Amino acid sequence: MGRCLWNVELVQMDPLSIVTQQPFSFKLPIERFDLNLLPPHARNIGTDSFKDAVVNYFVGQYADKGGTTVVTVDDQEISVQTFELGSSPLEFAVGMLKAGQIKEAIPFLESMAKTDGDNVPLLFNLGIAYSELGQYDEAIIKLKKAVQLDPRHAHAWTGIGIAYQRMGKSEQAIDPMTKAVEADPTDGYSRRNLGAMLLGFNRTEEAIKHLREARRALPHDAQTIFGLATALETSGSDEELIEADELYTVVIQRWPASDAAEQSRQARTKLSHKTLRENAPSGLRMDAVMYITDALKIFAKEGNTRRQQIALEIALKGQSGLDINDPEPKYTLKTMPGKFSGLHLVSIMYAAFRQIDPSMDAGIDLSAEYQTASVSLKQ
Amino acid sequence: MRDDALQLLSTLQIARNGAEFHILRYQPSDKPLDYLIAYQAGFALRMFENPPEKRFDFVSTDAAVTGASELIKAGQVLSEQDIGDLPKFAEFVAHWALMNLRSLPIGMRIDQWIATDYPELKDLQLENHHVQQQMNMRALTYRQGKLTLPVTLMGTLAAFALFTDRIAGQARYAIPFSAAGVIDDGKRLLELLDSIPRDSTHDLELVEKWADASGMSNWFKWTPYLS
Repeated sequence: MGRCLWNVELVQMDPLSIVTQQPFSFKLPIERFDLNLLPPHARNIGTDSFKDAVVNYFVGQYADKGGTTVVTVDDQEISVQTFELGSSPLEFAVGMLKAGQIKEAIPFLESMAKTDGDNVPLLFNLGIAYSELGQYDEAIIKLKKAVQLDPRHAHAWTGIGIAYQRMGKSEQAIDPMTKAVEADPTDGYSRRNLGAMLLGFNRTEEAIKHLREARRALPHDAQTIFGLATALETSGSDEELIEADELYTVVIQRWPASDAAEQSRQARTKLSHKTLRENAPSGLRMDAVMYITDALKIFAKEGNTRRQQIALEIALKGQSGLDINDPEPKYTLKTMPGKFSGLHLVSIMYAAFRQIDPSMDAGIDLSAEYQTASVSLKQ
Repeated sequence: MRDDALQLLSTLQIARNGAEFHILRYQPSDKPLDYLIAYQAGFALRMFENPPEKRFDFVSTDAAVTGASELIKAGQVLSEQDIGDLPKFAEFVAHWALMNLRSLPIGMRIDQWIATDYPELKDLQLENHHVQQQMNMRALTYRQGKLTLPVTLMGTLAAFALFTDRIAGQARYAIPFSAAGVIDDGKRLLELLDSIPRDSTHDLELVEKWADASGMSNWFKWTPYLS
């Protein structure tokens, strides 16, 4: 006998895990499957008859255990999931989808669909999964079958619309999205999607109507509020612009880190800029010229470091929004004494940015005002 | 003793070198530990039921890695990469197979004892078996390049699956091993388990018979247990 390589310890048990609540599942490489278990005509690996026979084998083996067995076979591996009586394979699959395992969930869902092809929730989830993976034709086939079986399935109708939209066939998206709202007028998501779609076709009034309904149903949905604000801004009456600005502010305040908040900030800046220019019939805001002139004088006197400190403080303050159309001096700075209006602060920041790096985006175009201020200072 | 850093649920360290106690370490868990403690204690009890001169340590030999290596490469054309990986992989396979050989047959004796004498632990036992079986499924797909676990060494796992099915009164865990063509090996090992007397004096014989049936007779040796 040779040298001792190691002592083999007594058995060690790995931790119990949530596996006990999961189905019993396993995978088997195709080449490991015992072909003698299959009928002779199905022993050619990789063929459809082989795959069908493998599925039938496992389904047959687990058939008398109660519950459900889901088998998928691809070119390399057989995957088997067994669910005890009372547990739901679909719930498990939806869990996979929610966890982002969309590619892995599809063969699983397809396998279930083979034996339960009229299951609407199954078809819906399968359709959405295909849509998420960019396989829109497959998505539409599954979702259309779902609404054929259950015409009141609003989300399946919406899914069809979204698939068409993603295919670049937006005109074809409107009909299913309208049907979604007809199927369930109280469903906020259907309203939101239809509203957004109509807005894209400049059917603003209709869009606003649906988005208002969506907001009623989904008062805590940032996308809905942002969508309604966008529609109101597009419509463009004074009252609607005020409401849009209020809604953008709501999004920024309630979901400050969200994409919708970032888009709302940009929208508010654009909106403020538009109002700012409308209030300057000559094309030049003389108050901004004055603010920039003063700022340039301060920077010349107090130096670059001070300039940067002031610009940084204003930029940070601006993240939560500066109202440049309210002349009231309601803002203060730690780096400068006094009270400032929103336009005053933005003008100071703009002047600083132009001196530090002209390519920096101050979120507003005051280049004409800056030019005028610079010329007057030189004179 | 509770061991927060333990990666496994429990381990048993037999007292040696004058230590007064065996040490069972367990990981904090929201599950009752009763089954695991009984299971680990079973190994100690069976060992010390034997007189001192009949207590042995289970030690691998060089033939284990050589034998594993032969089984892994049998009938395969390996790439240079696979050939380079083979020694380490063979060492892993040998260790894995010996661990199963050492633990599973005697573990089944202990499981049978728990199932018969402590029915109040049945639920925990079944739950634990489920986890173990789910983990064992990884062996079917485990691979490194073209290197896989040889099917001839999976008989022990197939036997354990048949055994846990028997304890649970079902036929669920053995099906994957049937599909992989190794269930007959598992049945042979289970027949050996059933044919050998259950008392601990036959534990060595049980392991040796399983080793014979699995082609692993010269993969290990018994050395006298030194307390």
